[in-house]
Amino acid sequence: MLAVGVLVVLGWRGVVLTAQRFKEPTLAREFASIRQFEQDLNPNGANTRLVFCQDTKDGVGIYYCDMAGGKPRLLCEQAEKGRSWKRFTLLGWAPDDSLFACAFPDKKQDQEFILIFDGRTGELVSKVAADQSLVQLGWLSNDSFAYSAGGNSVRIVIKQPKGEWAHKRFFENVATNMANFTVVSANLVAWRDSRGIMGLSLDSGATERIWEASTNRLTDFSYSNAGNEYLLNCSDGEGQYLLRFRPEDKRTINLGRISSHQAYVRKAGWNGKRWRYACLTNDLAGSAFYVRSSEMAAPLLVPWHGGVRSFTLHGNHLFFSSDPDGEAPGIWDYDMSAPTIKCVVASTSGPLSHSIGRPSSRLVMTNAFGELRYCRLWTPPRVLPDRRYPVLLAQEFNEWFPYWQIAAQGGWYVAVADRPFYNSWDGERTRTWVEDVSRLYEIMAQNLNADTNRVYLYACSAETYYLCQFMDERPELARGAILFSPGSLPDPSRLQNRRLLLVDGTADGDAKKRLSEFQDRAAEKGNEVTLFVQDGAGHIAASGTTEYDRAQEFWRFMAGQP
Amino acid sequence: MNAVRSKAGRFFISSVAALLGALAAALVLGNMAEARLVQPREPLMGMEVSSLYWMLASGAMAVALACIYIRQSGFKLALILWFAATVVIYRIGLTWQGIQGTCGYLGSLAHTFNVSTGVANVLLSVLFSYLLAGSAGLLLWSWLARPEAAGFRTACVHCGGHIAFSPANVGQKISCPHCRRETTLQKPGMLKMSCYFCKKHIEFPAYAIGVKIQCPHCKMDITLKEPAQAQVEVLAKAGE
Repeated sequence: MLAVGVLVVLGWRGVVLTAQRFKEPTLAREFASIRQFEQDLNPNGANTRLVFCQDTKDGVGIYYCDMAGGKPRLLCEQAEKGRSWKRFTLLGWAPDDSLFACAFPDKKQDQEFILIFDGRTGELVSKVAADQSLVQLGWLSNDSFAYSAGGNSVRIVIKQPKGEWAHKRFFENVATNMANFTVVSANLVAWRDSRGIMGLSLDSGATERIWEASTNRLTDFSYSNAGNEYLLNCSDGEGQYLLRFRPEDKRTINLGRISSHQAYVRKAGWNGKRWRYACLTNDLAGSAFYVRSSEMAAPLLVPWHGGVRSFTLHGNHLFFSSDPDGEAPGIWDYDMSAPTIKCVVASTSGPLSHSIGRPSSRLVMTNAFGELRYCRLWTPPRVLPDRRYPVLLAQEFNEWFPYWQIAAQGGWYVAVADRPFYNSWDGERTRTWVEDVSRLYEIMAQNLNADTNRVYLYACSAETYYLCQFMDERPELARGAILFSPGSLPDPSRLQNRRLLLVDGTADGDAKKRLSEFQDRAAEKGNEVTLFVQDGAGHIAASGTTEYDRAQEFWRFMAGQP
Repeated sequence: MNAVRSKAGRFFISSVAALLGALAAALVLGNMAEARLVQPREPLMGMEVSSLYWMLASGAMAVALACIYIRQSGFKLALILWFAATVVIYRIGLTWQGIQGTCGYLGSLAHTFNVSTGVANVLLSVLFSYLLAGSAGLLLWSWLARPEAAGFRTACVHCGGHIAFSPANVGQKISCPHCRRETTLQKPGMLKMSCYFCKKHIEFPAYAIGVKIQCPHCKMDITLKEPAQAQVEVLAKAGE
């Protein structure tokens, strides 16, 4: 009889494993094979070569790609294990495109290395040990560059006659909160601080205020050597707008307000003497770029069916990493002069026959603040009229996120409100996670196939604060929640009989201790808390392996009894 | 322990062996399948739930093996009762500590078998209720049906030693608890005689007349006889 009991249990487990085995390859495995693009895209001056950052199996890598059709080449790789936040710092191209540089921390993380590569071949030319707090770099000439360190200092590195590169000058404590480090000329560098733009003369070491913000907030700026003008990307309570600023006569020209609250000017720049900028916005089709320049009478609209992660306007080319509907992410090049669009780099080498191909449908809604929001809705693969399906609600940027697809393939309704882009840079405006998700809940409640007794919420990092606020205020609405790298946690005393999935990494501060304590307290109230702390991972997942493990656990949680 | 030897008793012991074996296997599989997850700490002893699972699995398997390999039926039932009672008392302790339900600690078990924690909780509650009620019930039945409480008494035809038994067991052949020889439990209807040598009182069933035994008092060999004849012999001996 003992054997019978054991065999029954083993058989049951076997059935469960078999069922998982059949479903899992179509979900977590394929999604995890998609290497995601990180950070900004760095084309050279002639737009013929591209340096970009992408996940590898074990971490993050810098890739070099010849845009004429060459296969991307891995130049250097930083393993994820044990790291939090820190990634490669892309340092851009030298003025004549002969060199490009990037920086990465060494294994002990006590200093940073600047790697200088040949711009034509991608071969490593030189390696310079730099300060650990290195932030940004600007090329002063083809043989020298300056970089900002620790948010307050500037260092100069010069190529020596024998070919090696060495630190030559140090300017300590010349700034506070230095950002947007920009080379204005061979003897002047500028940066953004909380009040505007500051400059540092490399000849005298003196600093001066170049431009001061009044009622607005400087988000970003760039400088044109040819025109001796700054292009200022500013924001206020009403949204974003651009200013031209001429330092010689201190004159500013307003280029107009960006029309939509949803729109987002990531980086405004110069093309020779002419200014131009690209603006990304959400729309009913997915995303749209508005490109404006002094040469154009009207803005150029580039519609895009899918999400966009990052974009760079460079000359007549718009580079962006994105996932078109029904396809895996890639890097795309839109040539405005042709105009043509082509995929420069794909994230997968082969077809994803099972996972991709479930495009979302788009909705428009108005939240409690009266603000317009676009939403994406994924439905289960087969919806039977007399069945009700669990629902996952979230607010996220309109960019590639494999977990929506995993949940939808697993038989869930997934409704996601597109997060306004100003959330990423404007700390002065109210975030609307709670209002957007509440409205989504009301919309889904009208769907007869959506089971409002099985509603789950998703949030990541800082957004978990709003999820917790939502759960604390309306604990009856959500059956559970999924929190990735949570900065905040719900009040366990208000939770009862809820299911939660918490995912974080051991390298994310004291996450393991903090989340374990929460798990203990929540379990005492009868809540089922699945806690997955990934060994060596940081606040953000930064390798294929971590992503795969996370996807697997997410899938198990969603496929469990909701 | 006749209750245990009954059909119901045998079924209970066998089912307990199967159920506890299944529970042990489930707990081990649950721990192995969810090894990479962080498990909550149970609040009474402060140990990780996975450690508690290992302990519970070991206990369940030990009791299941005892049900198969140990012969003393009473011991088996007592062991099952102890195991079930320990778990039930632990559960009461959790409630006493203000813990609202055990669903928070059953996640790994439930995920492994693709059931909800609520279902896992119900299954475990049913299992331990069955163990507790079954073992306690059978032990109570055995106690109530113990020979002392039954009222029938007979004497061994070989040694004359007293045997108490339940009316339900009339006609059964057993090994005598005194002399270990086979004897049949007969309806009471006892004859009495005095030992020819020591004159002490001997009781014996009618069918044992003529059987030679050792007097349980003086250990002399005597033949069991009808009381009247025995009386005559005693008187004759006195006349001599």
